[in-house]
Amino acid sequence: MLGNISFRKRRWFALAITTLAIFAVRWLASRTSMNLGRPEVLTGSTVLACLFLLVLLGVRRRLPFWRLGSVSMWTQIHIYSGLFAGGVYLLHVPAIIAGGRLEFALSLLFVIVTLSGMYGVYASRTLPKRLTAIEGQHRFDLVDWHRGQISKAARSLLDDVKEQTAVRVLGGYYGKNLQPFFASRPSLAFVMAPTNLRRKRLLTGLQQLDRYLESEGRETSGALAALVRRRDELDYQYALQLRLRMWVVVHSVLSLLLIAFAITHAVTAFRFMSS
Amino acid sequence: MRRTDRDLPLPPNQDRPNRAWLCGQLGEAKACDNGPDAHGHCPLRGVCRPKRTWQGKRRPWLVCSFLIASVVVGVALLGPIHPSWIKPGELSSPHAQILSGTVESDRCSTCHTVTTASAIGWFFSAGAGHDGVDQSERCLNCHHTLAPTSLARSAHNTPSEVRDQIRLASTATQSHPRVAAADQDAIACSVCHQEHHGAQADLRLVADSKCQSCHASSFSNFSTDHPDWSRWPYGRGGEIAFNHATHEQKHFPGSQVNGSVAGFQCSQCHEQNSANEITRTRSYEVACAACHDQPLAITSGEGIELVSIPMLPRQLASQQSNWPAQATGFLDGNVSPIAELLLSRDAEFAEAIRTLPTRNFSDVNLASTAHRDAAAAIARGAQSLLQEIANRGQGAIETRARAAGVRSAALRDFVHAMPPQLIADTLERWFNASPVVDGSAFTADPDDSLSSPSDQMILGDNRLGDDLINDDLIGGDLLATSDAQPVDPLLSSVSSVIDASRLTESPRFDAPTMMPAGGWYRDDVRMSIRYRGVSHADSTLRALIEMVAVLGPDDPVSARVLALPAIKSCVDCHPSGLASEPVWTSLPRVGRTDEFTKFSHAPHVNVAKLADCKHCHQVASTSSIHRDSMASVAAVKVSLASHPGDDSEETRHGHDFLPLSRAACVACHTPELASDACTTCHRYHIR
Amino acid sequence: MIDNTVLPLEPTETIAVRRPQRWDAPMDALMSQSDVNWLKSREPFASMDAKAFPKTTPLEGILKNDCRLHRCEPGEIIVREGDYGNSAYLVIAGGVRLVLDSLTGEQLGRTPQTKMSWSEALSRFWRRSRVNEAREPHEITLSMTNGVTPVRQVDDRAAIFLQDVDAVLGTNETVPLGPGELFGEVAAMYRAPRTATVIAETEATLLEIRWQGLRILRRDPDFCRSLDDHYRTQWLPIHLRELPLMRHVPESNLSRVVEATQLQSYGRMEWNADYKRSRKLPAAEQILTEPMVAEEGRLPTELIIVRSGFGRVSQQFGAGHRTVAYVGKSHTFGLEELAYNALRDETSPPQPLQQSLRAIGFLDTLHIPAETFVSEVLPYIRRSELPAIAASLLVETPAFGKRASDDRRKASRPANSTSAESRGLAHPSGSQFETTGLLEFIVQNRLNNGREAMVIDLHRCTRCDDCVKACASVHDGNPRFVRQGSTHDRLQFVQACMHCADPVCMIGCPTGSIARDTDTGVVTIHEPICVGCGTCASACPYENIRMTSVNDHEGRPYHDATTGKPIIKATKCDMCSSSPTGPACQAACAHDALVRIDLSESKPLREWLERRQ
Repeated sequence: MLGNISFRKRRWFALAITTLAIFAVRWLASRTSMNLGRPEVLTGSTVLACLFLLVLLGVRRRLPFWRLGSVSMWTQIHIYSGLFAGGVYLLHVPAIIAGGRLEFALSLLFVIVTLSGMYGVYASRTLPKRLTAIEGQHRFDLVDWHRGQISKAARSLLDDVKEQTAVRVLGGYYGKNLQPFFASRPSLAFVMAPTNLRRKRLLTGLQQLDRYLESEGRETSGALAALVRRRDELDYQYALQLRLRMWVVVHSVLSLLLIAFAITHAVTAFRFMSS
Repeated sequence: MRRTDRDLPLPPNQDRPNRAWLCGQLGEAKACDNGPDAHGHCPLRGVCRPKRTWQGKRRPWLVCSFLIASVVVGVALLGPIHPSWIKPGELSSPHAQILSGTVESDRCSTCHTVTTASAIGWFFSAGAGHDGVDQSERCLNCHHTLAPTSLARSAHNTPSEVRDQIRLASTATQSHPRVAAADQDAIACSVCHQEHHGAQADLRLVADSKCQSCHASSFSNFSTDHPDWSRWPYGRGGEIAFNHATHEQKHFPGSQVNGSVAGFQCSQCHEQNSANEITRTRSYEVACAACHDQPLAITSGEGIELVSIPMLPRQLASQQSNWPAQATGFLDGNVSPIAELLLSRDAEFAEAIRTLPTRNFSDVNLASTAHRDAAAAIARGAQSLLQEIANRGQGAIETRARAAGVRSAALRDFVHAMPPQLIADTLERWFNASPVVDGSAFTADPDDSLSSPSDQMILGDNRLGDDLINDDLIGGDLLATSDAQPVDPLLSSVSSVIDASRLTESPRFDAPTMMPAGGWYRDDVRMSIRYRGVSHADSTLRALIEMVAVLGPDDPVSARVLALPAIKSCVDCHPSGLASEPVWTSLPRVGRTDEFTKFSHAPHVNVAKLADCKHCHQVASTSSIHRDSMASVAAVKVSLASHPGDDSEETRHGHDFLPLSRAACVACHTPELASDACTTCHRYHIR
Repeated sequence: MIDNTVLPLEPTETIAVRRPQRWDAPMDALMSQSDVNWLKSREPFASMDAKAFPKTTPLEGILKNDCRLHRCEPGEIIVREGDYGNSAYLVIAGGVRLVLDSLTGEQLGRTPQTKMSWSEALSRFWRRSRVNEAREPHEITLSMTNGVTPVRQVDDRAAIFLQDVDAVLGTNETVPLGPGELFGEVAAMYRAPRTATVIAETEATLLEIRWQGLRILRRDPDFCRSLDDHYRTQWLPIHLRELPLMRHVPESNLSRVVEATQLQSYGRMEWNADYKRSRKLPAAEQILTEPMVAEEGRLPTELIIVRSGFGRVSQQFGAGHRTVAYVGKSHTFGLEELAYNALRDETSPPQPLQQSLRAIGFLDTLHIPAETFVSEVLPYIRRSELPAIAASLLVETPAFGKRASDDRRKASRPANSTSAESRGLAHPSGSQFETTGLLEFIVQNRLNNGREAMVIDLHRCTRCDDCVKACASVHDGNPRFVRQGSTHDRLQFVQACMHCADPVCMIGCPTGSIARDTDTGVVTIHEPICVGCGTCASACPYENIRMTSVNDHEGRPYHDATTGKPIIKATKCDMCSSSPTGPACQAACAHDALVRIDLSESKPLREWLERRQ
C-alpha cells in the first residue's frame, strides 16, 4: 500500500483520511444522540478498539520473523490511528481530565501517552538530522567504549610528549580539567539539554596554554583539542540517541498501563450502564 | 577529517543490541568474541564485568509495567473494587446529600442495577434480585410526583394518543413532526439527566439537541428561525372571562365609580406581589363589584324554579285528584328544567315530554287526546314530585338527580338549602293534602260530578288507598293523628276553601324584599317552588351549574338550565365553572405544569422598559378584533384540559389583545443575554 | 571510525605510493625451478616459442609465478559449476572428467536452501539459543557417510570430494579430459561463473594457471588461436546477444560483428586486493591511477562494450576529472558519438568523445570497430534506443532542425538520455546521478558492485537498532551485519553483504561453500562445508564477512578433533533467504530509513531518494 508515492504525498493523504474519519465518527455520534442513544458508547468503544490497534505495532515489532507487512507501514497506521484515537477521545470525554479516580488516572495516562507519541513523531523526524550533522555515527551501546578510547588516546598523547615545558603545562591542565572530563560521563543536565559550554571552556583553556608552549606542545594541545571536540560530539550523540530511545520506553510502558485502565473503565462502564 | 585529528581504533565489529549484556572488554585482544551469556556472566570466569546494553536496561521497566497492567486488569475483572475508585465523578449536591446517610458501598445500588462494584458479575447476570428493575424506575422511587409511573418514560409524560393529537395540530403550523427517532414510550431519565458530572452540575440543564431529536423543525437559534406562534399568551382560555378591549374602550369611559370616570389601569387588577410576580386578578369585591353588583343582583335575584304547577282546563283538572282551583283555567305554564331533570327517569313523564317538545302548556291542543294525556301526565308528575320531596325530603332530589345521570359532588350543595317542610306546606296549601296520607282523597267528595273515569281514578286511588289503609292498620299513630284532625269532609272542604280564599286575599309574598339573602320559597301566584340567589358567588346556583356541567352541553336539560338568566350571568364571567373540574377563581399560571410553555413575569418586570405592561400587552381596539382560528399547540392542550366547548369561549377571549409576536422576545432572548435554550420557555414534563 | 568524506577536487600534495609490480606475489612460492623445467618439457609449453614472449615476462616467469601444481585424488571436485575462479587448469597427468549435467547441491556438499514455513519460523524464534553463534553439530560439519567426510585435506589444502564417484559418472553425461587439455579458462579470463563441474577420475596432476599468466601465454599464436577460437565460437555471440542494442541484429550481421570484435581487458583482476589502499587516495589521484580505456576528445574509432568489471566515465572539469557516470556489465561507451558521426551531414564536423572511460580496478571490454558498427549494427537499432541527438538526426526535415539543435544542447550535457532510462534499459553510457558527490563516493568505494546493498537514510534513522535485532531474531540471535559503514551526507552504506555483481569473495573458496544462487543471485555460505579458511572474508573488500568461532547451545566452543583448533565459520548476510520474510532488516525499519537496493544501477537509488523529499 502507498508503495512508492513520495512521503509528502503520503502524509497529506493520511492526514486527510484521518480527519475524514474523525468527522465521520462525530457525525455518527451526533446522530446517535439525536436518536436519544448513547454516543459515549460508540465513541468509547471506538477509542478502545483504536488502543488495541495501536498496541499491535509493538506486537509486530516483536515478530520480525513473519511476513506481516513492513514495520514502517505499521508505524504509519500507528501514527494516524493514534491521531484518530485522540480526536475520538475528545468526542468521548466531557472534560479532558476526568473527575473520578479511575477516570482521572485513565485520562491522565491517555493524555500523557498521546503527547509522548506526538513528541516521538517530532523527535524521530528532527533529531536524526541533528545526529547526521555531526561527524561519526556511533552505536549507542558502544558509546562507553568510544569514551574509553578517547580518554586512552588523550592519555597516550600526553605520554608521548617530550618537551619538559609541554609536559608541565599540559600535564597540569590535563590533570585538572581534561582528565575528569574524559573519564566521567556527561552530567544529567548535559544529557537533558546539551550545550557546548563545557567544550568552549576546555578549548579556550587549551588555547590560552598555547603561549606557554613550543611547536610540539602546540601540536599536542591541538590534538587534545580535537579529542575534546570529538568527546563533546560523542556526548551530544549520546544525549540525542538517549532521547530517541527514552521516549519509546516511556510511551510503551505507559501505553501498557493505559490499556489496562481502559479495559477496566470499559468493563465498569458497561456494568453500570442501564436505561 | 581535521588535520589535528588522530585516528582512533575502529569500533569492534561485534554488534549485538539484541542481547542484554555486552562484553566489558569489547574491542580488546582479551575480549571473547561471543560475549557474556544471557545472565551477564563472563564465560571466562569473570575476567571482565559485562555491561548492560540498552536492551538490558529497559527490559525490567517493560516487565514491571506489564505486571502492573495485568494486575490492574485482574483486579478490574475479579476483585471487588471500592466504589469510590470507579466512581466516574461527584454526584450533584442534592443527590449527594440524600446519599450521604447511606453506607458508601451501598450507594451505587441506589441508582444502579448492580449490587456490587465488582465487574465479574457483569459477565453473568446483573445484580441478583434487581433483574428488570431499571434505573429510571429507581429515579421514580423518589421522583414519583413528577409523573405517573405509567407515563414516566413516555415523551412529555403524555400518552401516545395525546401526542398524536398534538402532532396533528402542529402539522397545521410550520413545525413538521419528525419520524420518531427513538421509542417515545421508553425514554430513560438518564437520556437528559446525566449524573456524576460534579457537585455543581445542574441535572436540569438539557441540550437543545435532545429536544430536536424529535422536534424535527430544528433550528440553530431562537431569534431567527424559531417557529412563530399565533396568539400565545392569549386565547388559552381563562377562569374569568374578561374582555380588556371592551372594558378599556367602552365600559370604563362610560361608567362612573363614585362620581368619577375610572381610568383603565393594568395595576388596578394586576398587582405585583411580594415575589415580583404579577397577580392575575383581584377579588370580585375590589375589582368588579362597583359596576357589576347591581345588575348581577337583579339577574340572580330572578332565581331558578324547582317545579311549578301548570294551569289546567276544567275537564283535565277535574280528572286530577283535588286539583287546586287557582291552577285551573286556561292552559298555561311550562316545565322547569330542574323538574324535567328530576322527572326524566319516570316513563310516563318522559313520554309526555316527547309529545310536548316545547314543554309549554300553551301549546297543548285540547282536541288531541295525546296532548291532553301528556298535559295531565306532566301535571301529575309535578304534583307527585312535590309529593315525593315532601315525603322523602332532600333525599328524593338526590336519588332522582343521580338517576338522571348527575354524578357530582355539587348535588349536595344544591339540595342543602332545600327545606322539605316548605314543600309539605305547599302541598297542603295547594292540594290540601297532608304529606302523610291523602286518605281524604277517596272519602266521598261532595263533588257530584263522579263519572267512570273518576271511578277508575277512585279505583286507582282505592288501590292506592288499600295499601295506605294497610299502612293505617299497621301504624296506629296515623289513626291518632287522623283522629286529631277534624274529619268532617264538609268542614274540611269548607276550611280548604276558606284557606284558599284567605290566601288569595292575603298580600303577595315578595321575595326580593323579604329574602334579601336568598333561599327557597313558594310563589303562590306562579304556583312554583323557586330559589332566589344572592348577587355573587351563590353556592346553590354554582352547585346547579356544576351539576348540569356534568351532563354535557348538548343535553337539553343543561342547555335550558344554562339559558336561565341567573345561571347565564354566572357562566358569562365564569366559563371555567363548566369545566370537568370547575374553577371559579382565577388560578396563578406561574408554576403550572400542564403547559408546554412557561412564563414568569418576575424576571421580566425587572427590565425597566418592561415595567410598563403595555410594552408587551397592547389592548386591541374593539373595532379591529383580531381573529385567527389557528390552534396553537398550547390551545389544543387547553382544550384537552378544560371544557371541550371552548371555542365559543375562545371567541370571547384572546382577541382583545394585539398578538404578542416573537419579535418582543428576541430582543433579549439570545444565547448571549437571556438564554434561548428550549428549556428557558418550554417545559418537558407535562402533567 | 571510518571516514570517507569526499574531498574537493583541488590538487592536494600527492602521497608517494609504489605502483604494484607484476609478480610481486607469486601464486605458489613452492614452485621450484625444477618444476618449471619439468613443465617446459611437456606440452603445450614444449612446443611454445620462448622468444615470442617479451623480456619482462618470459615463459619461465609465467610458469614460476602464475602457476601452481596440484595433485588431485580420485573423486575430488576440482571446479564446480556456478563457482567463480580466476585460474584455468591444465591436465598434466591422470584423467579428469567434465560433467556436462549440472550436479545437485547435495552432491557438491551444499545443503539445499528451503524456505521454512511460518510455524517453523515461529518455533525457531522460540527456540533461539541464548548463547551467540550456537550451532548443532550437523550444522558445522557434513555427516560422516561411510566413514569419510566429503571435506578432506589434500596435501596443504582442504578439498571436497564427491560421494560414490562411479554412480555420478555413470548417471551423468561426462567428457573425459586427458593430459595437455585445458579447462576453466573462460571463467578465469572473463570472470564468469564456471559452466561445468570437473571431477578427478583418477589420481591426477593439474597445473593451475591464473588468468594473468594465461593472458601472456596467449602471445603464443597456436595457444592463442585455440583459446580465441574457443571463446569466439562458444561465448562471444552469447555475450553480444545479451546486449539490448543487438537485440534486432540478424544472425549474418552478428557473425560478421563477432569476426571484427576485439577483446580487451584493463586493470588487475584482483582489484579488491589494492582496493583497500586505493580507496584511501583522494579522488583526483585515484582517477589518474586508473588505466585509460578511451580518452575524451579523441575521435571515436570503436564502440566499447563492457563485458565485466567496472569503468568510470569522467569528464575534464577545470584541472581535474569529474566523474559523470560509471559503467558495468553490458553498458556501452561511445555509442552517441559514433551514431552522430555516422548520421551527421558531411558539412558538420565529426563529434569527438565527450567523456573518457577508465577501468576501475578491473575492466574487460569488447571493441566493435566503428565501420562494422555502422554497417552491421546501427541500421538495426531502434530510433528510440539511440541517444537523443543521433535520433534527431535520423529525421532530415528542417522542421526538426530547431529541435535537433535543442537536443544537441541537451546532449552537450554529460550523457543524460531519459528516454532509455525511463524504459528501464541500462543507460547506454552508464549510470549517472544528479550529484557527482554521491556518484564519486559510490565509485570510490566500489559500491556500484552491490546488488543488494544496505543503505540507511540517516535523516530518518532513529538509531533504534531494530534492524539489527530483527536480523538477530531471524538468525538464531546472531546479527549478520554491523550497523556501521561509510557515510555520504545523508546516506550510510552499511557493512552488510551486498551480494555483489562481481563476487570476489567467491574466488578461491577451497570447498565452494560460499556459492551464489543462480536465480536469486544471493550469495550464501554453506556452513557444513565451510572450513573457516577466511579466504572469502579477506577477499571481501567491504569487510562484510565475519569469521566467528562457533559453539554449542550451552556455549561450549567446538574444536577440531585432529588439530584441536577452534572451529571457525564465515558468517554474512544471506538476505534471510531461508525465512518466510524478505530481508528482515528492511521490514523491521519503522521509519522507512533502511533499504536493500541495487547500486549497480542508478535508477533504484535515485527513485528511492526522490521519495523522501
